[in-house]
Amino acid sequence: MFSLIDLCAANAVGVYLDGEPVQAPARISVAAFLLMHSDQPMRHSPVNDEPRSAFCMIGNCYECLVEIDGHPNQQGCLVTLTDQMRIVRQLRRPSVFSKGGRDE
Amino acid sequence: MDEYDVLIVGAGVVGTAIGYGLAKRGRRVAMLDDSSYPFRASLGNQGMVWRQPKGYNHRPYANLTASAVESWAAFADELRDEVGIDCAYQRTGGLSIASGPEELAGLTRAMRALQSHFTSGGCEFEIYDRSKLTTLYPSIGDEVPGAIYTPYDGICNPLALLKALHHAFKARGGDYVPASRVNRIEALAGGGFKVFVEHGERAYRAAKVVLAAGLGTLKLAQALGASVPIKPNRGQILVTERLRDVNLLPSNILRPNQSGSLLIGASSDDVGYDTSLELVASANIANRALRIFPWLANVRVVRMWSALRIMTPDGKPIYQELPGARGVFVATCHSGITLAPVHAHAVAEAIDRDTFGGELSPFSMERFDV
Repeated sequence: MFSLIDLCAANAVGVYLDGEPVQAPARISVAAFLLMHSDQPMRHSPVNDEPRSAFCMIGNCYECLVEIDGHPNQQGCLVTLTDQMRIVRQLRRPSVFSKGGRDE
Repeated sequence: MDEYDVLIVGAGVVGTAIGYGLAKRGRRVAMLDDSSYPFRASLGNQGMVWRQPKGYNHRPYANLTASAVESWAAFADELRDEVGIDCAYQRTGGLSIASGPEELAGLTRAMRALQSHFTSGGCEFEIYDRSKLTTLYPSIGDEVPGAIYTPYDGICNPLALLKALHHAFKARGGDYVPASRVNRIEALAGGGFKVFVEHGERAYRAAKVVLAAGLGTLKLAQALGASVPIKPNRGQILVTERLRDVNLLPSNILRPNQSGSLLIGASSDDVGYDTSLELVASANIANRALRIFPWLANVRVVRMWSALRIMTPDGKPIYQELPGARGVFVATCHSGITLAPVHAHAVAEAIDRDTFGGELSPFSMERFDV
């Protein structure tokens, strides 16, 4: 059920972060990877544009929402990194109601 | 044993509004609350402060609802003055969006009937045809023929309302007694009542008792020889992720929240005392909403819940003193948010004066004995 993650095998998978290729450890969560990678926010609140980042890391707080493989608002702490995964931070996203929004 | 003027059984939005009203009138009031929360409609509703088309077939209910909605802004101010809590009431205007021509025709008939109760005005509505509706919502579903708009409808934060009423009740000297499910009400020989809670280890005494326990009122009234014809009706709600720049009127399809999420609902199922979530109901809610707002296909649902409405046979409230148990009053409805100002003022006053006259007299259970 539990196993140790070898973080020393650092560049185990290749993912895309905001479109740029990045090497990352395997088998850690998307949120953990983003915390490791930089102190940039993972998203801006759609309500008041405040910068947000992972808080609870156990799926409760919904603060680590990011786009993963084209699906927005995924809980980064609950998704394990995989090779070729495309992660996009949700920084000041356009509204679903506005032109240029998701598929409108 | 504690003695009160009035004991309120139930501390949802109906009980707290009446309790607050009575405490404000100077009565010594205690509110006895359950310990478990399986059927709290006060926590499961969408917080709509809504008129259309309630009472289209029943003038007194149309008038009662109108007077509640008209006093809502002042009531929200009153609660903010009392305890500093903002119920986030907004008279946004509201829409009933039709899925097809027949539904639009039905909604239009209902609104014309409703309007006929207001001969001196105060019940304006507009029929938005498809072209008018598309200026408001350019990407509205292809099959939507139109909608009814009224300026009176709006929304509040129902949890803030419940909290404000609790605080206001206590600030006016009311005693809130949690974890005290009432199991027996005994009429005393010299007048008044003794109310036993939990397993009978505690009791409270009062001149009057108000049954505002939602579905729990059924058994309590039964034990006093009165049959209150209410039954549960399950409503299920979908909650979306938070969205940016939500600019939607509340409607029969969804209500926007200040937090950016949408509450989409609600189903209506007669399934007894069952609050479990059903996938079929969720799918029906989602499909209906998608036919109206196709862009919802790009929006994720993050939560859903259900709650039980408290339905009378005609959907209207019951306010009355029990004929077989003078001094025991029943107040029950499924519009506890909209009607909160009426409960805090007119209903509290009626209980205080032992007379349900005027606008409240048509709401006794005698209307079912035909």
